[in-house]
Amino acid sequence: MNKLKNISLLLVSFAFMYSGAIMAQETEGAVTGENGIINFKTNDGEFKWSFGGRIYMDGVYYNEDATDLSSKSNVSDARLYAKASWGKWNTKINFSFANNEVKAKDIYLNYKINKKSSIKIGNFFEPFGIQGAISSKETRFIGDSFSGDAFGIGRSVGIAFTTFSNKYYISTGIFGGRIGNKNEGDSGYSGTVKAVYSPIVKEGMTFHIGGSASYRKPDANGFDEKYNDDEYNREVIYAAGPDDKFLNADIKHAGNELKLNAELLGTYGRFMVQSEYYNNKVYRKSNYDLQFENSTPDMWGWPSSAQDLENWYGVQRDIEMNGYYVQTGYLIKGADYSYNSATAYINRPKAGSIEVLARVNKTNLNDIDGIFMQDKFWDADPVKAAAGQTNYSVGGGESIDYSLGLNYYVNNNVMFRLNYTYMDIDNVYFRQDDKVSFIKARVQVNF
Amino acid sequence: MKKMNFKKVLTGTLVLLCLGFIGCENDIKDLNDQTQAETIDLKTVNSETQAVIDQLKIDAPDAVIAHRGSTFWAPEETEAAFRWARNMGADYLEIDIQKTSDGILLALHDNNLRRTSNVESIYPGKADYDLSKFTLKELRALDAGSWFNEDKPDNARLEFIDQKISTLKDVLLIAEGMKVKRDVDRNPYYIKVDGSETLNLDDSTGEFVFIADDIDNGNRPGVYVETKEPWRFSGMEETLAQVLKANGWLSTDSPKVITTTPGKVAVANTQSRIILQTFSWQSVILLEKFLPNIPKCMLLWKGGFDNLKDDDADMIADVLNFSVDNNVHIVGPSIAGAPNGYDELTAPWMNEMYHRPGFLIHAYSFDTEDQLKKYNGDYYYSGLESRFDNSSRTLQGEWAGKIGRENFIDGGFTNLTDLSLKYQGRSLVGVTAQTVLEDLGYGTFIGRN
Repeated sequence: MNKLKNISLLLVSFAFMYSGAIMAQETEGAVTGENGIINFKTNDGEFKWSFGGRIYMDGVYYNEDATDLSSKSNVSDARLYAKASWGKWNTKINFSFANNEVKAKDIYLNYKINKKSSIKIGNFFEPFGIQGAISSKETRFIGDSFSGDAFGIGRSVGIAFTTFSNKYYISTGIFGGRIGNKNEGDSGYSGTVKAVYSPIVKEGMTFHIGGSASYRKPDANGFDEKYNDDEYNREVIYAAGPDDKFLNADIKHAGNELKLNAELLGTYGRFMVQSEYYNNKVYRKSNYDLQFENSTPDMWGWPSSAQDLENWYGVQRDIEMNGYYVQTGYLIKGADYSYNSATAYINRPKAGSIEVLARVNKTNLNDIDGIFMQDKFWDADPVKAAAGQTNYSVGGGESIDYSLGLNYYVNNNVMFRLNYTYMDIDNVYFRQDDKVSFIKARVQVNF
Repeated sequence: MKKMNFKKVLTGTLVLLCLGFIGCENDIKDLNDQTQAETIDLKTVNSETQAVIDQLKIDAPDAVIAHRGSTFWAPEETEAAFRWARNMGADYLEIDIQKTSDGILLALHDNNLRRTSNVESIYPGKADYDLSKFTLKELRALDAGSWFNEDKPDNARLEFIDQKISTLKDVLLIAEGMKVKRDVDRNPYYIKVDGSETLNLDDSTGEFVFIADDIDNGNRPGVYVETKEPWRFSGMEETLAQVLKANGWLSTDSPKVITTTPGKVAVANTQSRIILQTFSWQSVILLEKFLPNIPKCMLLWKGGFDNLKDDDADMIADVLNFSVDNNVHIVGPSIAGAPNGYDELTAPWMNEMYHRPGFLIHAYSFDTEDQLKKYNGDYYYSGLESRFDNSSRTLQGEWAGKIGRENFIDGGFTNLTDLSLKYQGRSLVGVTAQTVLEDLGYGTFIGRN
């Protein structure tokens, strides 16, 4: 399973080589423009090639409580992509150049089994929830909710099967880790599935409910020199919000992770509602046996068993975290919302639309059952805590935030976004910070 | 008209994009340490704890605490150091206690005997052993004084040679005006099992024979006892309570009357005769369990997680709230400056935090006049008098209108009791550290000239 990433990359490489062979058979064609995207298409429609990209120009202004945050203007994303399709095949390669870094985004080969089913292989979004499975250019607010940011999955290298109808959408895949993982040690892997049932899909009204699940093993973080092992230093990080400061949970000694998601989406004319609930459980993998085997006795004493270490340092217990959001939108100008069964999401509103949004989001990255002192968790029993017995609680922070948004879809290529968020914070590491508010603006260009 | 609205949205968005540039300006209040400290809510001590604190203010105001007896004039935590501190006029004799393998509480600072004894010669290969690996008799065989003569040649004296390690009981007796009985060659007498005296350590229990000190000048200081981490000496706090009670020094349980002399130090006969101190959170809890309502000092040390990780206001608040929960009465922060170079945990804003729950401050450890002036607020006063010279002086400085008595200490651990007393205006004419040493019989200077 952990070799899946390498195999996947190999298959993607072969796919592009095959793509080159097709190109060599080119026939007469034409250049067209569809939805603001330049396309090269053969006259018989058998082969299509398009180039495009996106630019996000952002500004954010924070009104902080105590900890200073980085208000700034920047180009948060700049991308170029190429797509090609021929017959039942299509492929895409997409790179981001924002912040003077090159990052691989969608790189995949897709085979359409029929009009309703396909198999995709490469680097792409794992099918998990709503926000986790759609492009940032499609999200209603600028970026995901904090819960979505923290608990979403994003892209991985793998293979997935997707099928849909106007009543259901199912996508499942197995993945072999992240394309940017440079850590030494075996990469992680995952199996992810998303299923959506759409009882109402008709003109002017849609409703769907769904659920996603992902069972995962996180990437190793190198080999421990002392133990010559990569099994005990895996970690799961959930982070979101301003500068990833107030919501940031680093769960060490992670074994496996189970992510669950429930989603709801509905439209009624120019009104829409969207909600997701996330529940994440990280199963810890205790390294006390290994520590005990490697312990060295000295005059101060030493552990007589791995249990001694657990008594001294605390149980490396499982960690559970959750979050949810509810957001609504209303097109004060424009046509009704429309639904796309192939993506199980709303289509981009038409050019000229103006959309107002509201969202409430709660994100809980705290799983605490100990005493917090001196930036560290100690046993819940004050006597044991005072004796130095530590505790493996995680205090990643909890927040509830309220957001308002305004989107203006100038045309098919350009939109203006404006968001305001008020965030109520409870984080033991940032005790002086109770509330943060910020305004974000984005000029978004897709071409 | 609608087009105008869209343009407004567009223009507004572009303007807001520029907000990031505006945001580069410093847009929040400057959260310096003092500002943070002021906004933190701290618990306050309960009435029972406050009563002990109020009594401390009466019994030992501006306490001069003789750190290990003295680390400068005599070998630390020996009879010589404690007798000197008593006769010099310290309010408290400060000791660190550890427990021998036969259960005796004994005064030693370090984790082993290497620095302050000849353990390497007497017990080869055991120099790094914890004190709990030795019996009292084994430890009495060590010379705990000669190292000092080599370490501080300017203060070396013949009589320091073969000074012995002290028990807690020894220190209590010295505070009561006693001394070790010795023969003409300064060899100590030991108590045998049958109660008789002997000069032969091997035939004895290892306990000294004490007699009234003929050079005693009537000072009766208290004793300031530090406990270490309980895991090193299991049952230490309970044993400490038993030893104090057995010797009549437990002020909450039938304390004995210790005769005092008017005009002399008399802390030993007050409710505040014993103060307990520790860096260990666990020991604080155990001290409260076995020695309730005896004054307790939470010592602060920057570094590590199990005392004070860092010197920011949140970390300090953690320890103060813990101290309130466990009925601590005093906070003992480190001070900066030579020769120790400890971290600054006694800054004015910190002292205000320590005082806010109701605690007293006994800072450690003073070696220079500059430190005494600094931590008593003299540098925030335009005149030359100390607060001991002029109790109504008005301080001013970087916090004009805010700086006050609450920003400074209430007492301190000192290696130079003579200097601290002089600073407080409590020294006697013609009495110096050297004259006290000579009077006590430690007069044979063998150091460099």
